[in-house]
Amino acid sequence: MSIQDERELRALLGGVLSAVEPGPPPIVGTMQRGKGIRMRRWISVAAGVVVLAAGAVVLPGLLRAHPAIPTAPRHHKVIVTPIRPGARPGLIGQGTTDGHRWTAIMSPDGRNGAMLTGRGVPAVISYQSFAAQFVANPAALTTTGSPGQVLEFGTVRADVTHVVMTLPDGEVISLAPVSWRSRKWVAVQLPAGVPIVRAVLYTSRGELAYAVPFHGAELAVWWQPGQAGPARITKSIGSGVVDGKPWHATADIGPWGYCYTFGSGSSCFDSTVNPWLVPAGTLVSPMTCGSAGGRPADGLAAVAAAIPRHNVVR
Amino acid sequence: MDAAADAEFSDFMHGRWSQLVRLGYGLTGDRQLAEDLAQTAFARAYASWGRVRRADNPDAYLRRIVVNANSSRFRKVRVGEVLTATVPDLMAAADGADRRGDRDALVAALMELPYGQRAAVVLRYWLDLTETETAAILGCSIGNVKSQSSRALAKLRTSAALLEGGPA
Repeated sequence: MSIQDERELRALLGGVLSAVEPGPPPIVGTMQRGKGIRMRRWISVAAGVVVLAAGAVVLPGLLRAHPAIPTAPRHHKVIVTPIRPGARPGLIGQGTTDGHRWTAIMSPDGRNGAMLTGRGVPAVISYQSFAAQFVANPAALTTTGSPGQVLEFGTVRADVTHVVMTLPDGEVISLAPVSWRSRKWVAVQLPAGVPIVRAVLYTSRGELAYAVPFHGAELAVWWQPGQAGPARITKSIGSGVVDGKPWHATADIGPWGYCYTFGSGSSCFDSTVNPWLVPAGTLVSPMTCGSAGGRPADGLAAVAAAIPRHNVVR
Repeated sequence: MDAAADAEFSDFMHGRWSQLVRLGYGLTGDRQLAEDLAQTAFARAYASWGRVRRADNPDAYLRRIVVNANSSRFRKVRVGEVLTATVPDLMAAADGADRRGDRDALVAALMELPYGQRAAVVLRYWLDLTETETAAILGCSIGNVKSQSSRALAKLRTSAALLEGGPA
């Protein structure tokens, strides 16, 4: 017997293997073996959970026994290069942050709109009406980008001569406003994950106002020098489940203003401009709807509710 | 698992038992071992029955277990295994002496092949699986299946077991 090609091999194999007549399938014994396998898997999982739970109990104690040595905060270097006369129109900021060069350029977008682009700007940011969004009283600063690349920019009042921002490591950033389309602009790229501790506006007569950002970036309320903001309070103002997903909302009052955190987003309001905590119908975040509750002096009285995505309560 | 699922599994096993034992036999040349491999595969399928019953190709799952289980068995017993010139035939089928001679010769020739080549031959030429399906079961590339099959065929052409073991 010999095999010369695949056809012969197929025929031989078919003949040999089909001649094998197995006994009846041992179904009961197989099921018992299967149950044993399942039980062993279950025991392995349970043992894993027990080990994890034991670790969770024991490890914190061990870690407490060896307290971590506090490390000094990393020093960041932010260099803002002055914009010289004759520079490209719309260039509102440039410099290096921790060695990375960045530029921020505003350009017209439609009749009333504006567009922010530049090196280090994570995306083209478009504003349909920047005049409405950047009401500089005394400043309207906002952030764009991701946690690793935050650009703080916006407009300041015409008499502001410079803006000073302080970082946690003591680094001081001084920004000189640049004129573009009848407004004065500032921009700076912040080091990744580093909050602003305090921002101060100066005019030729001295300090004009200061702000304490919420979550290190959101500058909502500007206080006069010497004026203290409200005491810091954090309250849970709502929680629940919508479409099977849990939600939780908190309100944070402090020198940053009146801020609401909902999911991953937050919004802040300047109660010195609007005496109401949250105007009725204000969209706090894409999934929340705030409603009126009382004067700020009364404390927290806002009502938060989650509504299914794409549904809007009018 | 509830009674309905047990009944479903029972039907599943009834329908595939013979083929899986034959696959095991092609890989091992030993019927008892083949039945044990098949039972191992079905027991594992039973342990994950909810997933297996929803699988696109539960047969491929079973075959993969048989191939892998035999491979790991081979690794475990390699040290103590004694290779002999003749294959211990444990088949109970009553057939003629010539057919038994052919069968013994082919099984002996298969057992002379390295395990990967043997598995490729049985899957490709007995189960008629495509190269892609064979590669998925063996956990290797299609190119590897091609080369294993080609080498196996070349070895079988010159196999002394085949040339001497049965009628030409």
